Amino acid sequence: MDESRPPPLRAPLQWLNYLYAIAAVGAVAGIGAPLLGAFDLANIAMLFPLAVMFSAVRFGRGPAVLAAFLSVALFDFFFVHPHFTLAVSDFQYLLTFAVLLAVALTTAALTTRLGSERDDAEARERESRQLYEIAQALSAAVSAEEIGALRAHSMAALGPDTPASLRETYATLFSTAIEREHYLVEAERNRIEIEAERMRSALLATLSHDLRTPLTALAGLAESLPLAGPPLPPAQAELAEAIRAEALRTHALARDLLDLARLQSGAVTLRREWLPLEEVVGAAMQARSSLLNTHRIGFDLPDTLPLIDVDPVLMERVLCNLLENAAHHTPPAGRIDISASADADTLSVSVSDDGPGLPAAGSPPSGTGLGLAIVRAIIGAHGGKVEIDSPSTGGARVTMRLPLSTPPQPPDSEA
Amino acid sequence: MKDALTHPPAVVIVDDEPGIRRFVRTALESAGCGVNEAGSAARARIELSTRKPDLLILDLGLPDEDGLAVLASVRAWSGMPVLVLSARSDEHDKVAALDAGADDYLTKPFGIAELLARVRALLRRSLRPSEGQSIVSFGEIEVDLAQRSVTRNGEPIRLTPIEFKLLGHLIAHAGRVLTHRQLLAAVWGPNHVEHNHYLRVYMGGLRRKLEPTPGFPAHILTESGVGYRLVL
Repeated sequence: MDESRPPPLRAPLQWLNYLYAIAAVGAVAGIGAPLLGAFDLANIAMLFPLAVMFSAVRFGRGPAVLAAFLSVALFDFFFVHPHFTLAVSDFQYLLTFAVLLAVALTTAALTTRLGSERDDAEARERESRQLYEIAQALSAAVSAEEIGALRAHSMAALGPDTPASLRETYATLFSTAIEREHYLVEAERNRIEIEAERMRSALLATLSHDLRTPLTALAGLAESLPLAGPPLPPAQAELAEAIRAEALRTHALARDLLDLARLQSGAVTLRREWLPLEEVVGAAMQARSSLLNTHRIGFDLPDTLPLIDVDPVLMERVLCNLLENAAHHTPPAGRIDISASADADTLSVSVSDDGPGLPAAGSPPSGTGLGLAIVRAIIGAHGGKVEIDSPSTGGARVTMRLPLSTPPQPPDSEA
Repeated sequence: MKDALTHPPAVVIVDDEPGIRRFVRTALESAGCGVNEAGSAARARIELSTRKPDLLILDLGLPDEDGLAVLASVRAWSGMPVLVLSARSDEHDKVAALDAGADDYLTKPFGIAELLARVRALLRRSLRPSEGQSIVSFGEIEVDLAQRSVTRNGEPIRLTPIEFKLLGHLIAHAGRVLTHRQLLAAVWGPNHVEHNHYLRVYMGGLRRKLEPTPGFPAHILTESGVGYRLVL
């Protein structure tokens, strides 16, 4: 590659430049010689800075300085009386020499500076163009591999004398591109996940709707059977009621399965609101009152319980499932207790019954496993946990522990 | 229902599931209503404008149009009571329907007793709207709206002005569900419709004063995620 040209080759070129500078001054002296006599000596002296400027532009600073001194020497030697000696008869020429030398040196300095500034500007322009081209190539690159290949290529193209600041710029450019590419990949993955999520919840919602509608019709039709004509004989009324109960049970099973699928796929967003626990307990009791009307229910919900930040619908579901479980495992006249207490950062709610307690370890799971799985999923989504034990007093107890946070400002106590 | 009326109340049921229309019709006819059916939103618009029913039972998930759109167009010309049926368990749909002017809702699957109780409450209001009693009682509680006094078994109960306002609003709409937004707007004003916890704190206070077992209320019922209902 041309950038890796070995430096020693430059030395002969430098010497050549000095020779060219000497030749340029010589040429000026050659042009001036025939004019001597026709022109004033001061005007002939004006020719020499031209040669110096030419050398500065073409050959650089060193040759230009050489040309400046050579100009004075040649002017003295060929043009100032006595000719062909360096001796000076009239001392006023010393001033001419000094001015000539000063003009020549200044010209050499200015010109070479101008030249180097031009070179710098060109180099900067080349750098910006390269940067621009790389940036353009990067913005079209869509994969980490493409960016990596571009980076390897561009870094290799940088010469060994590339300034550190340019290398830094390159590094920034590539790291920005890699970051951008990373975010693009991330955004794409998120989009796919959201899409999958959307499809999953749409599917579950459709399934839920499609299962609930015919089961609603089935249960309702069975219930309306005794109303459709003359009163049914007791055996047939019983059958109609059994059909209704089975339809509702199937509905509940389908609902639980679909809800658990929704909860476990993370497709459920909590709609948290600040509310007193008592309200959720009341709603659940009301919803399950038909199951509980033969049980004795005890409440221990102190007035001092703080507000909790929960999804009211899902929390009602939790308590409904626990009440159902308790009702299921307790004889008709059994006792169910709902109690709650709070410390600085946790609310504990337990539902206990005086039934036979937990099944022995290893026994097959009962149908209520689904209900408890839903409880665990909902409480887990709220950042809480569920504990199940058999207290020494007998029966089974499910305790939920929910983290407490600071409730919003309560309304004025007396408004 | 028959006794209060000179003509049987006319009900239109809109649902795309024939089985549901069938059993709702049977139940309503057994209770003395005249029933017409529609299986789509387009059919519903025709039935509603020609029959001018006393009550509309409307499924939200219709095949040709959202039930909410039908509700909105009904509300443009009629204040007839509307009972919404929802197969979706998403409470937001119910709240949207109630805030858009529906009077009550039922979630599928529902029982006939539940259906008839809602229908009776809605028809009572629409057929005898001017009937305003000043004394209302439920359980052991007696409320004198004119005297602004509340007693339990004759013993006076002290309510704060807000609690009384809340109770008055529930009594005015007894049997019907009221959304959080509706109650907040009625009691605190339209600037407080987002302050659900205000309502919950006051409702809890009201329950503790009026319900013998606040953890299992018999009259001031919670409809989780939707609102409250006073059952007399």
